Amino acid sequence: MDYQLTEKSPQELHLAMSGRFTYTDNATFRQIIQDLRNGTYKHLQLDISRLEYIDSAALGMLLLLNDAATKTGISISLTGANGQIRKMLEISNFDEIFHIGYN
Amino acid sequence: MLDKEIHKPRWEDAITQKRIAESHIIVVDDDKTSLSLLQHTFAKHHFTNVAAFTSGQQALDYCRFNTPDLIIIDLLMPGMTGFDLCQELRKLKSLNTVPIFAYTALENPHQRISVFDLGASDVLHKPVMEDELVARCKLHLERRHILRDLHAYRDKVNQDLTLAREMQNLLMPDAEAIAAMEAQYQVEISTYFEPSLLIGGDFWGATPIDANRFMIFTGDFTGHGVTAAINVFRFYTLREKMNKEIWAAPSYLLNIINRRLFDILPVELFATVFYGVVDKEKNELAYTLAGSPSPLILRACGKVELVKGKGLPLAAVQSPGYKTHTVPFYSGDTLVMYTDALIEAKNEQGDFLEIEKLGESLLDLPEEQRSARNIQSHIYAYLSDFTDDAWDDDLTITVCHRKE
Repeated sequence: MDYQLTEKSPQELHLAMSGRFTYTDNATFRQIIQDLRNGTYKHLQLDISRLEYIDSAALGMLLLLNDAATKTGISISLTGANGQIRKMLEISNFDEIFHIGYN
Repeated sequence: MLDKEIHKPRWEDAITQKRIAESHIIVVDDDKTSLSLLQHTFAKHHFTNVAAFTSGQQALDYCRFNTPDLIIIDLLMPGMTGFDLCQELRKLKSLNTVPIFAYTALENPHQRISVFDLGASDVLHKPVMEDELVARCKLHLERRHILRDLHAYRDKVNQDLTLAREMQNLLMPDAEAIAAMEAQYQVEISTYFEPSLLIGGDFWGATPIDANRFMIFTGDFTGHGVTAAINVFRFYTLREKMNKEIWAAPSYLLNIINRRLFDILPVELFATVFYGVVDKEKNELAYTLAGSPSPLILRACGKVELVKGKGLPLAAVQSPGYKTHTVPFYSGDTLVMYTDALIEAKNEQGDFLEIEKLGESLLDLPEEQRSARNIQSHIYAYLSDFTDDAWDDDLTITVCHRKE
């Protein structure tokens, strides 16, 4: 998985992910979560439109992200869920946890 | 001053030194002077288990029944040469990891090096400097001992995992339990259960509740291997603790299990589960979907449908609020459950397997051949064909057919 972090404003962080998001990204993603906790952000926008694949370990990483965000009062929105990613999120009913935009 | 900076070789610790000194070394040379010189050198450096042979044939005969740790061979011997011996020794399976040194006065580098093709591990030039001989022997012996330790460790882990797998299999119904249920409820149950490693996070179950009802489920804990397997045990332990009335109430049961698992599992771990209760009197399937892919129902009339409903995976959130749904389930109907491996399966072109198409393909089976067993084999064959035998997840397929 590759990613790009952009600070839209002091309150809002934009994370664009691409490629395959799998168990191998564990350490990377945990670091992102840590950075998010250490910041002063109120909102995280997660652009997943360029992701090609996620596995169940990656869904677990999203749970971890949600857990950290909830504890620090950060809201999250997911945008651009397509193809296999959309299917995985739908089957797992993750729209109950995240605000998910499909386009 | 430099001493502190240098990491000493591992063989300088006392235990390794002892193991190296006790290693069984054999030397093969027709020249007795040369042999005794080598023996003398080894003795001087405290090697205690050295045997000498004056012909290739003798050494080969010995090695058929003994496994040395290191073999040193003179290349130019009458009768069986060192080249021949080296080649013959490598044919013995017991010796395939034993280092073999060619020991030679041959000046021609091509000839010397050609012995590597015959399986030699190293070449020593005759006459060899004592220190060089000892250093190289120690190096190869140390490597051999490390490899042997690794193999022993791997074997032990495999044994442990095999045992764990047998224990995990005991959680799931055995052939006898399945046969009893098939007779009691006039059903056929067929399962394919195959962890991608020895043990994994997939599970399934079927248990009688009362005269008319039994429950049947499949699930998949995230992760692979030992961690996932331990969580499977947790799931069964939590379920076992509850009484049968709760077993008969899918969403109630999963809500309780969810709460417990949510408390003990790390945030990022969860399980996807389909949990159903078949009632043969009401002709009904009551079920809860917890993040699992929707099972298929193949109707007696030849219609295929996806079981509706959805819910969060187990242990994803504290209160998922699972709901129980019901769907008619008559004699002649077949329920097909499966784990994620199926929906994550990809073909060579990168397209994902579509469950709807798989469902339609079930109709290719002639009506009289739609037994649970055949349907399960059909799905397995469909997946193998679609992915060209390349899927890397745990796979469980459970098929339950109500007999007419």
